[in-house]
Amino acid sequence: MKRSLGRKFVFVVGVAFLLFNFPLVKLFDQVPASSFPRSYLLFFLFWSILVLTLFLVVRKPLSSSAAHE
Amino acid sequence: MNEGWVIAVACLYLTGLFGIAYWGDKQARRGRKWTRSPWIYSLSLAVYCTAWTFFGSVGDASRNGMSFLAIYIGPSLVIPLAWIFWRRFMRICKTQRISSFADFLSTRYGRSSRVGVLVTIFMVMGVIPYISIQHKAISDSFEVLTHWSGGNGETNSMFQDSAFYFALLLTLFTILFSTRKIESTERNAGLVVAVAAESVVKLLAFLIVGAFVAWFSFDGLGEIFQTSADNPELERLLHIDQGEGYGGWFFLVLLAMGAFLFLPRQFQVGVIENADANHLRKAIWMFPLYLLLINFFVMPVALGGNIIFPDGSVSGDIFMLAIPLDSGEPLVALIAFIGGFAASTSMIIVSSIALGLALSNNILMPALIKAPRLRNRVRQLGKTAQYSRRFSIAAIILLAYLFYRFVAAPYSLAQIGLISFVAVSQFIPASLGGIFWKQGNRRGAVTGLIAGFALWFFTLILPTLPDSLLGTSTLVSDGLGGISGLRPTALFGMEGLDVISHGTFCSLLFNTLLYVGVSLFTKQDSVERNQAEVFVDIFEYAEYYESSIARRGVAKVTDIRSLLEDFHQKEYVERAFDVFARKYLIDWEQYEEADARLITFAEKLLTGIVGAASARVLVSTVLQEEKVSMEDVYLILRESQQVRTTNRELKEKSDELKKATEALREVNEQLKQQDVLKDEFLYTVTHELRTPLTTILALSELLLDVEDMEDEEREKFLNTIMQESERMGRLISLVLDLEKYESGKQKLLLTEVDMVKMVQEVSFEIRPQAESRGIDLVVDLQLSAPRLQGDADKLKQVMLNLLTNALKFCRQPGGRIEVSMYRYDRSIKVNVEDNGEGLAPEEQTSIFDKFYQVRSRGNAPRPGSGLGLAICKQIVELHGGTLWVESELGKGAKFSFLIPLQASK
Repeated sequence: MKRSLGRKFVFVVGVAFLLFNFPLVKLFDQVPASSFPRSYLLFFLFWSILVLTLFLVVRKPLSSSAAHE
Repeated sequence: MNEGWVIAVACLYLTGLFGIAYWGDKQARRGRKWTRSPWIYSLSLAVYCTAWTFFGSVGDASRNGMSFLAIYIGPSLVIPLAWIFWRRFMRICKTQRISSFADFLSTRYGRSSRVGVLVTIFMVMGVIPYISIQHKAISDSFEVLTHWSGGNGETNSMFQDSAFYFALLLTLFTILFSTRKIESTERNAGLVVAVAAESVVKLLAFLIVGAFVAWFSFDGLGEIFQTSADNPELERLLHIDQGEGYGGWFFLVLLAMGAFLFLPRQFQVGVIENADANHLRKAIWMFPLYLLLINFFVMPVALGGNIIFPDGSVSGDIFMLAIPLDSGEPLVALIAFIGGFAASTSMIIVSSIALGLALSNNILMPALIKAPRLRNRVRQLGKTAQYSRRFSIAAIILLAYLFYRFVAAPYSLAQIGLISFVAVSQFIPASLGGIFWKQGNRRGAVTGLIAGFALWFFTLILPTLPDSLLGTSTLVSDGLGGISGLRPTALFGMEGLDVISHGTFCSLLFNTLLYVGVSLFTKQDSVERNQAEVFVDIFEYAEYYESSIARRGVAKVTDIRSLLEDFHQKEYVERAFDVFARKYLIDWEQYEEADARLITFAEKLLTGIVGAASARVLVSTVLQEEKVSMEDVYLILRESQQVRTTNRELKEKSDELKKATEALREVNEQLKQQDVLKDEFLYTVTHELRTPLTTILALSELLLDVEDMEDEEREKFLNTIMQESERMGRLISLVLDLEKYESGKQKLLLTEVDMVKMVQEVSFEIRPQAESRGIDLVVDLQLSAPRLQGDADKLKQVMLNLLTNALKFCRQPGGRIEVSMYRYDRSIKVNVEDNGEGLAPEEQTSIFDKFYQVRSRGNAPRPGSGLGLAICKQIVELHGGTLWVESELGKGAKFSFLIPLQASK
């Protein structure tokens, strides 16, 4: 069964919200300051992954259920 | 830097902005699609990035470290949900011609003018400070750039303040490009293009300054971060947790998520100015990408500024300008100024439109319309609505400027921005409830909003006010009336949260609880219920919105028409009535009294000009409205749903009919084509039969007429008659064969066929003819090739035909025919190649057609029936194989066929 685009978004937003609020920020803070800017770049890398995920989710054609959502 | 130069560059920038907006408008009028492209839409959403982002984020990062990122992570996370929320908003606003957020809420909660007024007041209260910091940023950055002395710059009097004059120019720009049309719901294409262009400018400017700081002021990012890591004071900035846990980060992310979806300026560009809901699909990834890029250099610039100005003499809010100026690079500082200017102006423009529309629709126009004296003096109310919008926009921009001059100047950009975010987030419960919860009602929304804003004021505004204004110095420390549970920063003893998180939590909690609680314990009236149903199920009611609104009352069609003509031109009203009549199949001659649908339609048209509250008042002037019962509402909704269901079924049936008609048309076309082919075939066959028949007849007549014909000549004639008769017989056999193949009557007699042997036999038979013509016949066979399953006679016929053709078309003398055969995957491949004249590209496709004869280069057809290759193709295809030709004119032809080892047919 195809998932509607709206449901996919709720799922992606939910997972990303949890990640960016708990594991990622904690992980970031545990990196020693001496390893900057690698950890800083890592934070932006995670952000880029979020952008890429959204790009991949929306580029698929709309399912019929999403069109009537 | 020279003041005149900076003013000149800023004016040049504003002129460019005017030019872009004018050009964008012109292009849109000409129907250029790019003006409504998803790229423009996505870039216009970046109006989210204001001076707070450009200057304030750096300042915030220089004081509090990485936590500033929460303001940008929030929108990056939440924008996919715009697909759910904003699409509903868009549909509702387009269906009901709503042009402002205040109108949206007032319409949802029973078309209540009170809700409209309340929301407008709260919007102005919450957003004016936010606009004011844009003026502050323009003023401060101008001062720093023109009077750089290593400090924060001086504050001038109002008339010496450049920001004041820029505010006037922006007012002119906004009025020119957003209020040209009478309808406020129409897209301002030029303005959106200008805002998108500003987004590009601010991003490029930030990247240039960021790169400058990283690679010119320092030796790359590594040096900045290493120096910061070695300095204990700066090292703490490299963490998100500043010793208070992650509660602050969590609340900021949540706050930014809500603010992005419900900020008036985001509502304006994201919902009202949207041309196509599908543009959101691009914005969903492009906007987070924009945020990522514009934030990348914030931390390096903030840390770099702290390293360069360690004594705190320069505020972090001006690092973007101060670092290049300190490095002696005024041009880079000028780029930073233009970037910040672009960020500020786009926010001022869009926010002033959003607030101006709310103010005009919910306060100014209703006041004007309700005042009979004023109303009677005004002839063209459409123009009045336009002037009202213009006045409101000017008032908002100037009010924000005054707020900056007298209140906001001492505060940081981020501090005021965050307080505004909390204010805007108060609209979340009523908005979300409005589109998802039918029970949410006006009383609940009003109570929740009042409580939320009261707590916002108490927890976030009061603590920032000077003691002299409060009349006490102990309010923050001891609480209201000395009650410790009523301390603004620790309400009900709630400690441990930072001021913003505390304010957000308290205000939103009480707002939501009261909205839900009051809605559950009070009843909606019928108008509210009607709107609640339509808002929540908008995708069901949008198409036939007018028939989904219950109304009782008497109004004349002529009155409705003349009311609309007070606002619109007569032709426009005429067209609108035509559209309405076509939609609902109405004959105006038999329609004197307006029904609920026409009244709602008229109200909708008026809403687009004067807003929901005024439209309701205006309609009531021509309508003797009676109270609608709850039963009426449910009845009309049920009828509307039935209409929708019937229409959908009719549409489905109509689509099915269309498909069936199309299929019939295709079949008819095929039949016609077949008929033409059949005629052509008959013509060719009769033509081919007539040639030998004519010869036979002529010779027979001669034999009959000439009695004294010599025996030798008689015998010659009889032989010719025999040959022509045989030719006719062969032709008839070939035609019959072809008919059998084409009709599928021809069956194959499948046996094990040794292709090697068969090709050798055929070559052996043909060799004497080849040698007699001086043609070299080369046979190259893979002797180990396996046998295949096929009809030996038919395959031999194919082989014979190809070799005979090759002989016929081979070069003479010096001809050469190469026959090769080998196993090719699960098939046997046979090639017959000659070095004759070859085939032109167009001949290569026609050569397998019936009766097609290759002409020699002298244009005379070659001898033959023209059926041989057509039959060969049928035989090969009947074996499940393929036959084709590769050729180049003048270089011979290569016929090949593939026969699967196991015949498929």
